[in-house]
Amino acid sequence: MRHWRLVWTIAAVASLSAGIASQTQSGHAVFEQALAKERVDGNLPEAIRLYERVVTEFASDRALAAQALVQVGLCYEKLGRDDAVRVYERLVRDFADQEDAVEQARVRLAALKRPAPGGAAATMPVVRAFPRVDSINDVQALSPDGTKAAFITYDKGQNLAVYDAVSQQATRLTDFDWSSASSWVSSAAWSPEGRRIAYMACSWRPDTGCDMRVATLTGESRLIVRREEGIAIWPGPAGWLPDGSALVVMLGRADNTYSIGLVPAAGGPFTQLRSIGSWAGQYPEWPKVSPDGRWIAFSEGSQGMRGIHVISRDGRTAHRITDRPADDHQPLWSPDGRHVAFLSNRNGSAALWTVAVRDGQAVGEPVRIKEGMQDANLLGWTTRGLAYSEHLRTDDIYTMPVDPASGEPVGSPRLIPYRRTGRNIAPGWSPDGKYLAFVASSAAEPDHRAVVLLPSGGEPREFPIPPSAYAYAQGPYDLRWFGDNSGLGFSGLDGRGDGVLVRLTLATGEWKTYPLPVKTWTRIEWNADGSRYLYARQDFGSDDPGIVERDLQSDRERIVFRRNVKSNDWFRGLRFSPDRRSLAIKGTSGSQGIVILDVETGQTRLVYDKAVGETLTSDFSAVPTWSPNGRALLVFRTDNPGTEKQATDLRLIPVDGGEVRRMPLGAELTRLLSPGRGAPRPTVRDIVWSPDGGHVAFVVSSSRLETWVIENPMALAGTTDAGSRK
Amino acid sequence: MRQASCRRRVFLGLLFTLAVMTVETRSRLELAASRDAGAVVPQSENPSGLPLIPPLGLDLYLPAPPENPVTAEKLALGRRLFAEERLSADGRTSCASCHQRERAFTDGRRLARGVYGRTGRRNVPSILNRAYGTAFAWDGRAATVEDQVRRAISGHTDLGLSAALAAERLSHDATYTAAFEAAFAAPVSGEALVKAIATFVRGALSAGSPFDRFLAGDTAALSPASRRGYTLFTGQARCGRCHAGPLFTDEDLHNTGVSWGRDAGRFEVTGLPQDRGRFKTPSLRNVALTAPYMHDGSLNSLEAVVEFYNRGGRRNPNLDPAIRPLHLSSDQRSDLVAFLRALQGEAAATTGAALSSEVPK
Repeated sequence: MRHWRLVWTIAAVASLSAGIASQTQSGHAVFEQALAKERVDGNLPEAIRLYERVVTEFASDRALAAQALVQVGLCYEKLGRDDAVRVYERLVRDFADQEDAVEQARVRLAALKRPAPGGAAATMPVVRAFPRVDSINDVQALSPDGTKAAFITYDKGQNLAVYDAVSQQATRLTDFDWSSASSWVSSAAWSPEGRRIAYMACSWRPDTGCDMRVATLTGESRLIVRREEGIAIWPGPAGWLPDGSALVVMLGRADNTYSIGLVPAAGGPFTQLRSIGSWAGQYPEWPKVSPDGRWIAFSEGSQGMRGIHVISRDGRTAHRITDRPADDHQPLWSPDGRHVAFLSNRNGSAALWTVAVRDGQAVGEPVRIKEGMQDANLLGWTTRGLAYSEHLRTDDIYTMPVDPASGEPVGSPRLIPYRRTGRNIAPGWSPDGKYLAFVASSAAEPDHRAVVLLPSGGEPREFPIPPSAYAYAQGPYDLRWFGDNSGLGFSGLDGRGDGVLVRLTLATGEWKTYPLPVKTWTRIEWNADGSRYLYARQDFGSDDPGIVERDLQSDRERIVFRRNVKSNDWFRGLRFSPDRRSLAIKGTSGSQGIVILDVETGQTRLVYDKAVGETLTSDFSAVPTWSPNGRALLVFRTDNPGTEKQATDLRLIPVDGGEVRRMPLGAELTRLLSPGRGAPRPTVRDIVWSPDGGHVAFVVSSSRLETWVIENPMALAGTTDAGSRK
Repeated sequence: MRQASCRRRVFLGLLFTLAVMTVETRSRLELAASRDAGAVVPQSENPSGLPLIPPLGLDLYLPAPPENPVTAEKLALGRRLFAEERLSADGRTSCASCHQRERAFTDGRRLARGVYGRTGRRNVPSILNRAYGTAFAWDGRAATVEDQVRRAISGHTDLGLSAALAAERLSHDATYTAAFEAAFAAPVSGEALVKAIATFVRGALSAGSPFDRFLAGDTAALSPASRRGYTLFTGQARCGRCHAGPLFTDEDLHNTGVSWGRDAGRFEVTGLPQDRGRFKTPSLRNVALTAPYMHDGSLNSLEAVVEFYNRGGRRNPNLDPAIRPLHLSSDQRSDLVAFLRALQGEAAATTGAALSSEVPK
């Protein structure tokens, strides 16, 4: 009897302890577990259970609970279950104070709760996945009958390939490689009969431009427009006239201007129809020719305020067919030529719309087809439906405890305590070690902001970056602190393609921009008080490549380092040592090595070079981080050169010579960087070591492209969406 | 007499119709590919009523406002009005007095000289290819061709007469009455006068330069020096930052330091401090004909212009960030000038008959 009483007592104590343990586990930790289940393991039911635990057990953290509900809804959507609607409705009803999450829920509800006109579900637009063509899935265009996809393959170079969805076979049509003497392929436009594809073949030299060629499905290519030495033009094939006699081309020039025109399919001069202004220095979208060949639709306008236009094939007549203060772009003709589909934010969120068109003019009001198109790229409208690709990318920042001497992981990676996930990059510790700064955006709020927060949690300070400050599509990568902790700044390109320096004073929250004397992307570092900065002049954008120090007020420059021999290598990243006397530079040796530059003397020394069969993580933002004592560099080592880089270990590299120490990633980090079931392999970059040595922060990124086809997109034609105006 | 005149008109009309039918059967691509500057084709039904084909290098689409489409009748009337001295206060000055065809519609003077010999503040800009423009006058104060024409007619150092008064003078001329009736189906008026001249300006097109021919596939059209010059133009010399696109102008305003402290430029229009010293980027087509250069005519040669930019303009608080020392060698500067000369259009002329300073009686 006493024996059983003891057993029951032990069991009760154990249960109580477990209960206490689960209570003491923070809501963020449970959220992270759920996220890992969802994204790493692909175990959606378990992820839902954990998210729901967050909602019920940590209800006092309403922001976290709301975000957990968003994730529950997304998981249900992936499972194809109707419960998603119920979850989103609950979120909107019960968490009205959580604006960000509620907005995400509304967007999903709008996409899911499309009422069927006449109640016939069979007439509703149906979205189906187009098969993945390869691991990258960079589809450019679907064939007119919708059964084949022209895509870019990256296995041995950047080549054009075709995937046949019927035979499930892929065929590479071009044969370029990664060497600097080779070319790379961009764009693809199917011929009307679906047996040829026009594409651009470009030189790796940025000042040389591209050819335009036509390939048959058996891989024979013919030159249509030849690139001339010293005359850089980019003839982008946008479509074919229905009789196959000519191609509609978007011609780009070295001065960043573009014109729409025609080129005979047999080769010949470019007939220039209409020049258009590029939007904020970005590439303009490719125009689309109507099925009858009479009209060409294109978008044009200032940043965020584009409209859809059509021009007649002979260039005589032009009309604007959307005229609302919104960003209307990516026009596509319906197969019968009676409608033009386009993307727009006219109702406050990115959606797919169509407008009826007759004789090149809009008829009636646009109709909304589908919400949730913020990451969409419209590929084409075939007889099988309207195809689009979706680039789904996540970037999340983690911190991880490490040994202060070696940088070896001693704990588990944790997601930073910031309510938005999915698009956080460029972490950096303040020099005094108190704060972590990074750049954040989100699908719901794509405008970027600099965020400064305490790594342990608390209310972050957010500084929205002026949208006119720079024109990067993905956000700045070289956010850096001033040496005295008083500010931050980064480099970018403005709307004209000129370099721009964007600087934040923390005390006032004021952003200020300065011209940066470069015409390509660069990387920067700041001096102690942010009054001077170092920047890289890249080989391909300058006749005088090197590292330059520039004074903000006087514009006076000092050449710190001059590369005397031009190469195809780039300055991929700069990082000051803790004493700001040395600069670690990634990518100057031509072999992705690491160089230390003495900022005063300009002397350099190579401290790490690529060994045979190895690469360092070579993403744009990959740059080693300094140890707190300034005597070593810490860097992720990656395997599998190419497009999928797997981090395999950490390397501690003494800057004064000595043996490189290799350290395992640890089980938790390895699991975090492993691909989930059906999910892409995450990559790691942007490692930064805290000044006290106790933690590192880094970015885990995953990216995938999906291709979808909306069948019966015109099911709503004839209805008018409430509130829509032309 | 009247019968004969009527029969002649019918005959000409039939001929015209036949021409329309013949031309319309040709493919549009052929037309575009073989176009000569000023070739006339039948009027279409579109708002621009385009009766001419822009030359090689320019957009086929010729913008025109819906309220003032381009027609052959307005072109003809506008051409005549362009040389009409009765539009000026002194009766001896016309648009053509400053916008001389043989100088790509400039006058070769440093500063404009208008009615009564009054000297203007700025250099005469060319009117070529302004149909594609979006900002007019050196300080961009006019937003449309019509607006600029209106200002030029009434300007104190231009023609010095209001369009309405000018129209009043012409309304007593039966030939003008008929011409306005043909062009506008309305009597002579100041507004119609402005529209006609604006139409003529729209029809003043010039391209088909050696550079245009080179881009179209004639690899021999550019000399090696010109080709090197183009590389510099879009590269180290940074000219393409502002002189961009088919017109070689971004239609924007920039501060290069020219006449800093003497002419406030765009500031006079907006009152914004950052606009002080900003002036419109002129087109570089036919630039070899339009000396002297800059808005104040202060630079007499292309070589002087290139040297000015090579030095980094003139430093001032509002200097455009794109302006900086270029470090061009002597040979490079020569190549750049060679390229600029290669922008000379085949025919710096309007469509139809040559401009005449004589007013038909």
